[in-house]
Amino acid sequence: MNYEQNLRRFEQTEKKPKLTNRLPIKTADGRLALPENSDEENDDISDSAHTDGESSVGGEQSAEEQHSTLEVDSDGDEDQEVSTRPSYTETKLEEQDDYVIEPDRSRMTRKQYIIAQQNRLAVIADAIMQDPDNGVKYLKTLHNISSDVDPRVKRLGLLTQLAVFCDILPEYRIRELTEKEQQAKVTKDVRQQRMHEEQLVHSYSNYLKQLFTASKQALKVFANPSADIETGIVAARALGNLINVRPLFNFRKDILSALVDIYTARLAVLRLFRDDVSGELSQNAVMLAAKRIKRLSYRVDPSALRPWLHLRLREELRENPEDRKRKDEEQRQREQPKRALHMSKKQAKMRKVQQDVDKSLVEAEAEVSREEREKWYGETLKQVFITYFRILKQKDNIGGLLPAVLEGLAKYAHLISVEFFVDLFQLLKKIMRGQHGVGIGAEESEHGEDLVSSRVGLRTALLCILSALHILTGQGEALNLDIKDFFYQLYALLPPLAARPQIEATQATWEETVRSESDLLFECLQLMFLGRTKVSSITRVAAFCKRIAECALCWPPKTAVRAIEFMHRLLIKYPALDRLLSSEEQAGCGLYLRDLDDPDMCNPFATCLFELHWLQIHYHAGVQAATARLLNFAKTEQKKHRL
Amino acid sequence: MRPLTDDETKVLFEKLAKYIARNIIHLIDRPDEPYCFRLQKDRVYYVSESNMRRATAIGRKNLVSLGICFGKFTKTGKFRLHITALQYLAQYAKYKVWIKPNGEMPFLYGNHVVKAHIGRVTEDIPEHQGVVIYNMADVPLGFGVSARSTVDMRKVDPTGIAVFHQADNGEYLREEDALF
Repeated sequence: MNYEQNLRRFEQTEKKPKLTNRLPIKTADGRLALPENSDEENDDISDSAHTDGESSVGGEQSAEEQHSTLEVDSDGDEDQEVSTRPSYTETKLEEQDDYVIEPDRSRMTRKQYIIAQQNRLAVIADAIMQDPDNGVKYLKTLHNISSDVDPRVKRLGLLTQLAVFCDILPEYRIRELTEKEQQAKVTKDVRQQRMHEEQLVHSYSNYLKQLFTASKQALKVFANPSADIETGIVAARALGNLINVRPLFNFRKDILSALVDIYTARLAVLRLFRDDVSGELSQNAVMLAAKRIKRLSYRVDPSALRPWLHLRLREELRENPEDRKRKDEEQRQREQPKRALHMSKKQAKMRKVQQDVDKSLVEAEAEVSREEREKWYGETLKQVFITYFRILKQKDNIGGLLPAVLEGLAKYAHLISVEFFVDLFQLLKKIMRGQHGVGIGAEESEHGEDLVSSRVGLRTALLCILSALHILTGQGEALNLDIKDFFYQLYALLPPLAARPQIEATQATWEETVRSESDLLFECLQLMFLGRTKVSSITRVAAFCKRIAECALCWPPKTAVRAIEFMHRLLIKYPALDRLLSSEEQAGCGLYLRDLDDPDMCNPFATCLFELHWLQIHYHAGVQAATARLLNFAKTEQKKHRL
Repeated sequence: MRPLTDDETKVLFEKLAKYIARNIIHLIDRPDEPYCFRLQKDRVYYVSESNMRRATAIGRKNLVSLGICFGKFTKTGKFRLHITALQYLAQYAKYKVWIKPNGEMPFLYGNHVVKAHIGRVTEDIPEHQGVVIYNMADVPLGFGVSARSTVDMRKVDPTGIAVFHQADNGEYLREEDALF
């Protein structure tokens, strides 16, 4: 051992020779015993804890004394237990009984008190974990500590309980016994089991009540500034953890309804949505949230709608391959017996047994059937859409909610029934033109000249277009509609977007970053022009191409590069755009109407993409490179053309 | 040759508005040259003002045609659009219908457009509105009147009529004599 490398201790912390100022005790069998090593460990803990803490010398002294007196009180029984019961765990449990006694608050500083309580919590929790079956009775002590006056102790207590409950709660739901069951005679084991379960549920409900009151009080902070917010936050987090760890245990609905009100718990709800297999939990949560939003007459924070974006509706309502395989198998089996040869009686019997076994195996696997999933998710979807549509139709809260709703609509667009398309499109159009909202008469909407309105954020308008596009690409393709108005709107939005330096800015929220406007814009363009079908009107494509080139001059480099690459892809998909790049081949007639917000009528073939040559001398190397690639491509294409 | 009276202008514009709505402004307010409508032997011509001035040198009887013929007034005072106006209607059309290749010939022979032949439609056509018909390569073929709104078009069976025929490019051959 290298002496140099050993950690050194300060002199004070070095172990002092053991000095006990306790008196010897008379044990049950009459021996006199010195209270020596029995609780050396504990002493150690408390010692180090005390030195960790701030040293207020006088107080420490007294506390130590007090502590030791406490220990003396219980020492007697302890030794007794040691002598009578040799089992290790048992001793341990009883040994810690002294921690069940509450430290006297009036006789120590707050810090010491907290540390003492901390120690108690640790030991009790440890005891419960070691033997959950018998430990249930200690839960009450934990509960008492958590209702302490000191907020810090309270928080610690709540967290301790959380950890304990997370470990000892079973995965299944404990149901209440029916009267018949209660009367029936049961074996001792079963009775014990039931007692245990009952206790567990009881203490769990007590714990939940504590959490609910804590979180509710914190929510009232506006009315009562002295409310304890920190404890509330801890309680909310604890609730979220509980629902994630043991989603199937009792009181699920109560927890969910409490969580719906709390902002900080959104992450938990989100995780719940993601892990939910059967869809039942999601349905419960969404139902409660929808009700709450309705109760508040749609005046809620947009983040209330965000978790819905994480529902598993997208995948779940589609037939997954595993289910299909099973169905095929069943079909085949149903057909087989007809073809099969005659079976002997014995074989038939065997087969029947086999089938029974299979059935019970399936049950045991507890797989959630497709029908069930469909049922729950169907209901969830209904709730989601009802809320979305109601918010869209609301005239007076145009504020922050719309983007969240529109994002949701875009996400689940493929699930919207075709019947709603007409109404929905009308509504989206109105919103993006800023004709939907407070104090706008219907008659004005007819003659609104400008497509772009200052009443709507660029972001909202982009999201409107995006939802419409998603709806169409989802199932509207069957209809093959030409959504002219949305094209026009996007075309009109390009100049204001070009004049927006923060186009690449992403907003960071609690859950993830919201997409930047640049992302939204290019997704729109992608869906419009590079989808499966070609846009029929080449004039329209050319007009967009021209305007994007113009905008690329103003955009920050990253977006500019994207714009140029987008034009490149346009040129590949629509070879007729060549005319914009070569002035020799044919000149269009008329003038290019630069300021007209109508891509079909601005006559883009009367001009050419001269912006590309400006972009070639752009200050950013990436933009230069992208432009060079594009021009190169155009040149080779033209050569091919001539040959 | 004379300018249109107020009544005539009203009738003409009402008809045009069915196809190109407020884009009529673009017909008259052109950035390159002022254009106007002139009446000659019941027919309405859309003509640039410089051409119109030159045409004044020619007597009414001798003037066969000038500019682009938009259509003619019937004896009952209604206005009838001719296929020759298609160029401008197509440019400014508000509602469009694209038809599939297998529907092009039936339409060009003067038949109505059935639902099965429709390739794509503008999203919000109301009933009985003027629509311009294109093939899938975006070449204008003619124009007609929508038999149903876009929403109802979905529900019609494939042989049901979607657009009533009014004029098509085939008329240049079929009615060569009467057209000019």
